[in-house]
Order: sequence, then structure tokens, then C-alpha cells
Amino acid sequence: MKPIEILIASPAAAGIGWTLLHSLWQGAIVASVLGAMLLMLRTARARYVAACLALLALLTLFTLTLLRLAPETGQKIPERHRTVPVWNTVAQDVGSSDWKLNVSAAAPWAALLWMAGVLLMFGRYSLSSISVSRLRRRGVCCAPDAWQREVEKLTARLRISKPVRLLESGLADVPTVIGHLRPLILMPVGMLAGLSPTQIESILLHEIAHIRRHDYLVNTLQRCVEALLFYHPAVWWISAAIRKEREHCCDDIVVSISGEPHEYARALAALEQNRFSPAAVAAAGGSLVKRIHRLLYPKTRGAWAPFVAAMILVLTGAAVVAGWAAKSPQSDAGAKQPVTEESLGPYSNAYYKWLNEDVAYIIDQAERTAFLALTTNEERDKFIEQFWERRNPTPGTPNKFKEEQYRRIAYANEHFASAVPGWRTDRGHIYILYGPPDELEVYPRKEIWLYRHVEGIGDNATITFVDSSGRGDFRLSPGTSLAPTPPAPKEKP
Amino acid sequence: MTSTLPRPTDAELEILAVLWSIGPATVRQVYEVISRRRTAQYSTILKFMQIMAEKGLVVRNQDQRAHVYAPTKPREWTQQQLAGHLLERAFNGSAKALLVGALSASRASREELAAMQKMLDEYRKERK
Repeated sequence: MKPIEILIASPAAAGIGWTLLHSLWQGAIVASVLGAMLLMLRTARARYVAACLALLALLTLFTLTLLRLAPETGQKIPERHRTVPVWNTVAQDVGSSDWKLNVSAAAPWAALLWMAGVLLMFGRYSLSSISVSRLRRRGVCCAPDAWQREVEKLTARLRISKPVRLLESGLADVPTVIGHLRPLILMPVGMLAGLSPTQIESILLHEIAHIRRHDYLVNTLQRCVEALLFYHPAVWWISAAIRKEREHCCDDIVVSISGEPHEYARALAALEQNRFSPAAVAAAGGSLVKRIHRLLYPKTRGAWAPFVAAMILVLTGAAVVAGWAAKSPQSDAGAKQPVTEESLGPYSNAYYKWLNEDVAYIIDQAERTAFLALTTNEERDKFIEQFWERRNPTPGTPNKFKEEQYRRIAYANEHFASAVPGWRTDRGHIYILYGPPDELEVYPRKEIWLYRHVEGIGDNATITFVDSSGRGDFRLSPGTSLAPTPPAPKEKP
Repeated sequence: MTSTLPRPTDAELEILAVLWSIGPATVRQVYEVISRRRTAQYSTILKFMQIMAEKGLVVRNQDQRAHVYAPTKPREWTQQQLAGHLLERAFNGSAKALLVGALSASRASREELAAMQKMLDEYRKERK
């Protein structure tokens, strides 16, 4: 198999795919709750903390879901329908209208796209890091002494113990803070010329407030989360909220210390005016206009804000309840959280084992779907009983079929175990499905099994297993098919 | 000549930054500012500045005994040249995502600048 096919078939890919899907509704809920919070909270600082927590919550939910859905390779039997040819395809078609199956098929591809995206995002991120370290060194010179002293004065006032350096930069476009452990303030060279000392102080104060609040570090982490959950609109929205509130927080600190909102607002406007890069063609969201308005006219929240917030919360709650309810027995089609094999939960490990181990090879897709839709253990017990009875060759008497099935599993576990339990090996798979072969040819590293007649497939089916590693790990030889091939071409030893 | 002015190297950019910061200066003055940040050789900086004069990046005023150097182009011009350069644009553009500062990475439009000015003027009138 090609690497991509191996990846697609791995349980990890399926787990990631489902995690991505779950993160969509998780993000929607987190974002709506945050939306309500932002309306209710009064200070920029509280809103900033709320937005940061929301982003953290999204990341935590994503991680937990991933850990739950992507068990370590080899715990499940996902390659069942892939490595083993033809015989299950008929049964599979039965339930293919089920949306869950469709998602299951798409999930690994989503995982693949996601991985490619994350790779791309982190590539961009490393490029940014290189650029930043370049910006630290290139085209910089010491700022006038008076400013450096001003910085020292202000850092002492904000009780920052780290030394903060101030440099002028010929490349920086705007005043900027770089670095967390060794913070550096870059001022575009000549940018502060023409501003009054009060204005210069306010701008420096804003940058030092960033350092005081560890904004550079938080922003870096925030970028990492963005890179990881890049596909999620909620993440970008939350991230933008964090950025906005971050500037508001710093503005508040400046005003609380300098007490001159008007001077500060003028300094911001002047800096924007003096930027050397050409003015933007389109409005960039007008964030600075809003900030200046906020500085000049500190506003009180509208009376409607709590009502809107309450409404958002009620609607979100209703959606969650509705999604939960739709999960109930009859139809899981509208459920927000689809019933996966894992959602049977730890309390029903026995049923999980029954489904994925005892009858993994003989249950057909329709039965599997039906079983997964069950919600109570009584229903599951009943289902299992009927499952065996349907296959009982002599209904009403002790079930020979069931006995034989468990004997084969025990035999497979005893004789075919290698790195994985015997029932999960290719030989175990075939043995459990078709029983002992009628003829057996054993070679070093190779076995050929012959069945005179296989129900639904035909006569004289030969199956070749090859142990390419030499560790007793016999695999179906590639190209082996159980299609009727009379007379079966004898393979030469 | 103006359009063929070469793109300054890193060392030249450092010297230009000093000249933009403190204005026209002698080699000695430039050396003093640079050596506050890192160890530098006076002779190296002299050599660089002579080369820059030949390239046309700086002009030399020889009226006084100590030659005074000044940037040929104002910082806005050079910065725009640099910022317009493809490589520089890629670097600066991606760096912005990691920086925090008083102004956002994207530039305000003319309308926004006008709106800000109007707001500030009105505020001042109200207060008077």
C-alpha cells in the first residue's frame, strides 16, 4: 500500500476526522457562550480573559475528543474491509444510505487535509519567527538617551523587573514589542519626532503595558492554536476578539496612568498618519477609529445588551438540548453528536467487545448500524440473543453455530497470535469466517489454504498467506481473492 | 540615478537608520551611536560610509573639516522602497502576525484617517 493509503486506513485518521467534525459544534457552542459573555462583561480586561478562556476551552475540547476517538493503533479493527477482499462488500451496501457511514468514509480524508493545512500553517509560522528575529537585528539603532530613560522610568512605574530595551528601526512600520524573555520595543525611526513629550510617553506606555501583560507570549500561543484549528471560523472570531480586547486593555492602562485620553488619542492618530506604508485602499475594519472613539467617549453598555446576551444563551442551550434529544433511539440522523462505537461508553465494554471482536467478521453492516443505534443494555442483550438465533441451524435447540464461532475465535487466538491477538490476524480472520481449511500446505514463511467450497463464493478457493517479516506475521498475499477460480492455479513453492 | 539607487545592505541600512535618527552626522557620531549597541570598528564604519557615498546612498558635505554625511533620500522614500521589495514584503507581512503594538498591522484608509481627525477636532471643540 502507498503511504497515503496506509494513513487513510489507520484508525488515527478516522479518529482525527471525527474530532474535526465534533470540533465544529463544540466551537459553535463555545463561541455563542463567549458572544453572550462579551455583551455582559463591562471591562476590557474581563472580556479579554473570557476570550482567552474560550480559546483555551476550544483547544482542550479538541484535545480531549482526539484522545478519546483516536486510540493507539491496533486497538480497533478498521482495516477489516480493506485488507480482506470482496466478501464483505455485498453486506456493506445495505447501510450505505446512513449518513454516519458517509461521514466515516470522508473522515480520513478530512484528517489528511487537516494535517496538510496544519503543516502549511506552521510553515508560515516559522517564516514569521525568522522575520521577527530579523527585525530584531536589521536596520536598528539606539534610540536617543532621553527616550531610553523614559522607558526605564515607565517600566519601574509598572513594576516590570525585566530590562526593556528600546531601539529605533529602519524597517518596522509601527511601534512594536518583540520577545518575551528579553523584551524589546522597536520604534520606527523618526516616527516620534513631532510628537509632544506627553504623547511620546503615552505611546511608550502602551508598548510597556503589552510587556507588563505578557501579550507577546500570549499572542504567540494564540497563533499556535490558530494554526492547529485553522479551519474553524469560531477560532478566528475568538482570536480577533482577543486581539481587540488586548489593545483596549493597554489603552485603559495608558489612560489610567497618564490621565490624558485626548493627548493619547491624538498621538495614535498622528502615528497612523505618519506611517510610511501607503494608506490602505479598503477600510481595515476601522479598529483604530473605534478605539479612538472609545478613548474619547468611554461608553456605557446599552440597556439591551443583557437581553441579547440572555437570548444568545437561551438559543444555544435550546440547540444543545435539541441535539441531545435527537440522539435518542429512533433517529440519530439529526443528532449533533453522532453515535460512534466509542459513545457506547466505558460502562458497556462488554458490548463493544462483542461487536468488534466476537462477531466482528460475521455481523453485516445493517446489523452493526442497528446495534449501534440501541440505547439500553436490555435492548442490546435482546439483540445479541436474536443475532445468534437467526444463525442457529436448528432453531430451538442448543446453538451449534454460536459454539463453533467461539471455538474458532479461541483456536485463532491460540494458534495465530503474533504482535496482535490471533483473532485479528489475517489467518485468524479467514479461520473465523470459514473454519479450518480442507487442505493445508505449509512452507517456511508461507501457507496455502484450500477450501473445497465456500458459501457464496464458490468451489476450490485457495488463500495464500505470506510471512514476509519472518516473525510469524502471516499476511494475505497481495492479489489473493476469494473469487471462484476453478481450477485454482497452484502456486509453486 | 534616483530609480537605480541600490538596495542597501544590512550594514548600510544600520548606518542609514542612525542618520535618519540623529540627522546628518560625521563618521565619528555614527560610530558612537552604533558602538552603544554593539562592538564596532571606527575604520569599518568609515569604509562603509565612503562606499555608500560612492553608491549614492548618502551625500557628503565637505564644507567643514570633518565630513558630514546625510542620507540622499528621506527615510519614507527608502522605507517604501524596502517595503515594496518582494522579499521584504514577505518577511514583514508574516512577521506582523507575531508582533504586538499600539497600531494594528493593517493600515487605516484615508477615510478612516479623516474620520479620526474629525472626531479629535470635535472633542476639542466640546471641551473649550
